[in-house]
Amino acid sequence: MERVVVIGAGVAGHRAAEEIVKLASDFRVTVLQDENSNPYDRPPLSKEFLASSEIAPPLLSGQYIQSAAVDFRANVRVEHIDRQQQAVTGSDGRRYSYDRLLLATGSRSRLLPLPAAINHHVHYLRTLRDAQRLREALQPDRRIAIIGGGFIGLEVSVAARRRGCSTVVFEKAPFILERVGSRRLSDWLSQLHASDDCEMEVNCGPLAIEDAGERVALKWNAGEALFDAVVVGIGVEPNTALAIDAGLHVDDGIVVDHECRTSDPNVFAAGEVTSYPLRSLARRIRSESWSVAIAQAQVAARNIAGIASDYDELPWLWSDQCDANIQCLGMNAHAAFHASLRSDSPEKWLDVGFDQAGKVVSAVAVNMGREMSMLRRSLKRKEPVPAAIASRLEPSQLAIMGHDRTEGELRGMSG
Amino acid sequence: MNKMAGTWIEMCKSDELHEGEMKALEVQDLRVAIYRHDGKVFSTDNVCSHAFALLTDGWLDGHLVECPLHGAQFDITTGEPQNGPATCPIAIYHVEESDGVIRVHLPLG
Repeated sequence: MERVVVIGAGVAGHRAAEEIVKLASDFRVTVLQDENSNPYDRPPLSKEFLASSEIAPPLLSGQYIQSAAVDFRANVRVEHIDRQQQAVTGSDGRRYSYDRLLLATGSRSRLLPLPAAINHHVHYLRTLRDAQRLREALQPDRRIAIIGGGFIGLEVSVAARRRGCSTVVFEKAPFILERVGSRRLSDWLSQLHASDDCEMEVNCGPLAIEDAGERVALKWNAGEALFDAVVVGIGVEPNTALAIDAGLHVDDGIVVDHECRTSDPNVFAAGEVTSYPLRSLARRIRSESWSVAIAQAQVAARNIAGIASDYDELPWLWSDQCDANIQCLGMNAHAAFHASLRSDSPEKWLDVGFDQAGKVVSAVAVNMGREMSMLRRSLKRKEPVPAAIASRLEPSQLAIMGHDRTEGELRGMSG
Repeated sequence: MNKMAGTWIEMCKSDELHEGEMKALEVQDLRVAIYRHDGKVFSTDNVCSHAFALLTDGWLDGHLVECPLHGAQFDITTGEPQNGPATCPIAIYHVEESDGVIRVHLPLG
């Protein structure tokens, strides 16, 4: 009997535990989660769960919690990993021995340095508890400031408006969402949110936040205003402290190979906390993506169970905002030039990013899930861009490095 | 034909659904998908159990249909979720193909 300890019951830890007991019935899996709740799914927390008080917490199917093969323990924070003895120490004072260890410790919200007096007006969104507290605060007619124009901030702004609040999104960069999306996506989403009555303050400069009794005063380079609550969505930081303390190789995230193995062959990592290699980009990246977490969990689980498996997919993520479905594949910044899919509607578009050699390295899609799915499938199978997409591609006006190719060159490469 | 509660509804002619293709149909309040895989016709509810989207706007790959929004995949022969974010199955319907016509047994009056 092999003993596996999984640290973290986010989607990566949860899915890995499920897979391991499915693949290897003689394995015993212990899942340790620091939050005092059963495993739950995070994507709805910034979307439907936040928008409606009628929606129940998005608990993940808890079959394995009852299964004899899995020992699930909530409210246990792991304090130390002893790699020599192959055991971890929990905040419950117990030692959990392992043959294989999986770190699925995820990330935490990046915090703003703020004076304590205004903390009860300030919200972050990471856990179910955060979401429950924020949902309480989003009462009708309240005015909500959202700091950070990334996916979380924008999704929260939609949910807040659905609950009858008015929203202002503050972004210090000149464009919202530029890091993960593209300039076209920034422009498109700015218009979408503006038409949904969201105010947007880009290039807002450093923010000063002050206590104003029942409310909070926010000052930026172009004005000041009072808000009932402030939601901060300025990114996350990977939870690498345990791995660093254990002497594992950490560089931004926990460094893993294609098999999700860390620098210790008995220790694996999966999900947002990993810094993982991609052959197509010839570099390591860290992704904040539900689907990467799931896929890495499956790869880690297989390797833990002794079945060789390899992770080498471009990260893919989605967002739902005001009835629009947005999907991003890879990182736009890795593309040397772009091509756009001809579309019959301004509400539906897809831009594909290529590297210098003409290989697909990114894509951004709005309401074009089918085409994105075709593209992802072809990349996964290392096939050329499907003809149904290649024949509709046109060099776009969105060159970021001035290397845009002619349509004929594109066809030649993708065909 | 069948004594179960429900009604057999003619969906389309056999030659209107080719191998590897799917089709969306609305019958009263029901949104129904039919698929042809390995020569056989299968039918499921057409709405993803995870978020509102029509599965026929997604992608059919063998016996798996993938939702266009978040990539939830369902086995069209069982309705069970396979990969992706969905955890609930979708309804499946009995299909009969004869005399060049595809009929589906739907839970209607």
